[in-house]
Amino acid sequence: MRLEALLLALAACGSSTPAAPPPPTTGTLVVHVTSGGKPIPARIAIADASGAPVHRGTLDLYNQRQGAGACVILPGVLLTWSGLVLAFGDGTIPVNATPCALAPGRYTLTAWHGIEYETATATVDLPRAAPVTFELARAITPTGTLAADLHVHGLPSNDSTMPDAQRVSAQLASGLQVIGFSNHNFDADLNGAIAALHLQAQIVSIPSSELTSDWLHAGTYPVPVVPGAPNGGGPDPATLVGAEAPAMFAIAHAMSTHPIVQVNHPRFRYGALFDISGWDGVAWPPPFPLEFDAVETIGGFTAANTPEDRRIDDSVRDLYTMTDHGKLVAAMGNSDAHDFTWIFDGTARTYVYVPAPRTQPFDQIAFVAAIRAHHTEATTCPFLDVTPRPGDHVAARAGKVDLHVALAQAGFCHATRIKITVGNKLVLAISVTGKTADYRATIDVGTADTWIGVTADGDDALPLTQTGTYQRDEWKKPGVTPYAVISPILVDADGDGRWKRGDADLVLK
Amino acid sequence: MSRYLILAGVLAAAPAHADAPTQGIGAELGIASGSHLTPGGLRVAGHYTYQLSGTDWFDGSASVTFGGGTARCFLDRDGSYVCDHGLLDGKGGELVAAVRRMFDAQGEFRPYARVGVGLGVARFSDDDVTGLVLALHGGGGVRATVSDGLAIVIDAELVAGLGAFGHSIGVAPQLGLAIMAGVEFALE
Repeated sequence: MRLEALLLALAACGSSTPAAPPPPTTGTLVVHVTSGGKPIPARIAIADASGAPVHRGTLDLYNQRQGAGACVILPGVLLTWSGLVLAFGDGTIPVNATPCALAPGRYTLTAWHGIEYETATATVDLPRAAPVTFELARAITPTGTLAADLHVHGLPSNDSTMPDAQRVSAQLASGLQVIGFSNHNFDADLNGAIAALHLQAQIVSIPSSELTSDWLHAGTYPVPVVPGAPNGGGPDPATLVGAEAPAMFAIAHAMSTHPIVQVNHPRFRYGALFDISGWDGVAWPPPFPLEFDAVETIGGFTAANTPEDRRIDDSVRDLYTMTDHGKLVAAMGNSDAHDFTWIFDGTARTYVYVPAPRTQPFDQIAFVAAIRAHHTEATTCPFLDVTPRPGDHVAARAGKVDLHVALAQAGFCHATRIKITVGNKLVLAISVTGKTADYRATIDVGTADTWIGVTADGDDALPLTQTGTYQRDEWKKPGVTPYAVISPILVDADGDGRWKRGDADLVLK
Repeated sequence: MSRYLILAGVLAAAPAHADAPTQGIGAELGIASGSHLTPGGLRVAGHYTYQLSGTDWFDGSASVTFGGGTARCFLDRDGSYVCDHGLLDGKGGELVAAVRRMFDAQGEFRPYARVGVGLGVARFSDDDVTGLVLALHGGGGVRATVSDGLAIVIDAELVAGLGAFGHSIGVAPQLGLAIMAGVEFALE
């Protein structure tokens, strides 16, 4: 047998026809993502020839999710369980059979940059693919705002392993500009990692902490960070773990930085103030103190409405009940991202209306003041451009207020209705059939001071490749659903320069 | 050709002003204000003057500007890199070729006007932004003779031009104002 094989081999060597060279098994995939010809940070979802998502790296977090297990090709170029993360809009990905590369084959790549841009798709055959350039078209222009995600986790949290630089890259790739690095009972920010990546012109981090107890989770920002100190200089977790709402709010308000106190995921069932206290979202007063400034009306873990579980609607009801009784808070949207798997950065976000929408120099004082003044909009993808602005006040004329509502959304976002509420009564529902809608009306507001709420929502879930798989994996839901809600507009109906409703009697400036 | 020879002869024969030397050097110190992508701050300049005619002098200068400031560039929502530096931010260096026209003396003082063109570099290090600048200079001042061969000058000038910057900024306008004071010495 060996002799036969040897003879065959010799015969093959003597053949006059050379064997065809084997196809290459290695190479590189070069990708560029641009908008208007300029590089733009982006994520790229990767599907194989069968349409299945391509996963790379390891699931290091609870053997279930990817925290620190992504492949770092270069700083700012990550090959993750959920595709590519490109902090600079460019990447060169190795093609070979190793775990931190793409294997030869056909792939469909979908590039996206958060909710403000359309996606772009390309098919590549590796390893011999020409460089791919994705040009992303803008779908939303939230003028005068900063896009913020003021509740994200990383390495300092006991339930995340995400390295700082990867968190920054992921936030930037999803179109965020302000990061609240809110780890459990740990004061920190990401400005060191941002500087190391030379990204200060694009993104900034506000020092934050998520005060965490069995009763509630409260985001606080800004907080005084003490590098190297236990818990970043924050309160001792032992004093927090059993703290109920009064003690927690007292600790937060005792901080020297006078932080915004934000009730996180109040309808998450776990660590959820409104649920755990048994508030039905209607009764007044609620069974907890009201010493907070903002509420995570749309949180990444609860950002889904389904017929049997209208969790976002419940949160908006809570917001409207508080407003109607004179407890004004900023409506916030945050991802609560911990990893590259379940909930992506910016899955829910807050647009904060600020005088100077820039990250360098970042006017943190003005940013915090804008939240304190409720100039915010929370969203999972549609954007509502409302005049008067969110959180503003307006004087009625003869019992009427002029209102302008413009909606814009990318093609993957399917908000189908706009709802206008006055004084906790739905007064108008407008159908939306496309990517934009524009509505102007004079609204009857009556003779007593009141408020106007505006929401946009839809029933079709966003692609899991753009939000993470938490809703499907944990709750068998289709995914995150479109929703935008503004902080209500106050109406001075009697024109006395005050806003009197419920427990409130405010002087309007 | 003969016209140029005649002109050269006239220039050579033109008498120097009694208080302005045919050739001179000077040094000035002052404040330049910029903003956005025009550097501003403390400015130091050296001058070389050479008489061209009875009223006009070539005025060549080299200057450096030392400003302060921190990073103030950001990406706006359209993806444009926007810089919003203050009046006294940044650093710069420039070579200027100008013509200084001297007017009739007013007692001890001789006013003058100056126009020129400059080529320079603007740098905002905290933003890692550098540009090549081409600018027009226009201004005026007063020259006062202190003693034989020594004069004091005070002047102000406006600068307007264009700069070509990196960091995807491209071409950006330059606009500044400088107020300077210094001394000039006769070389002959």
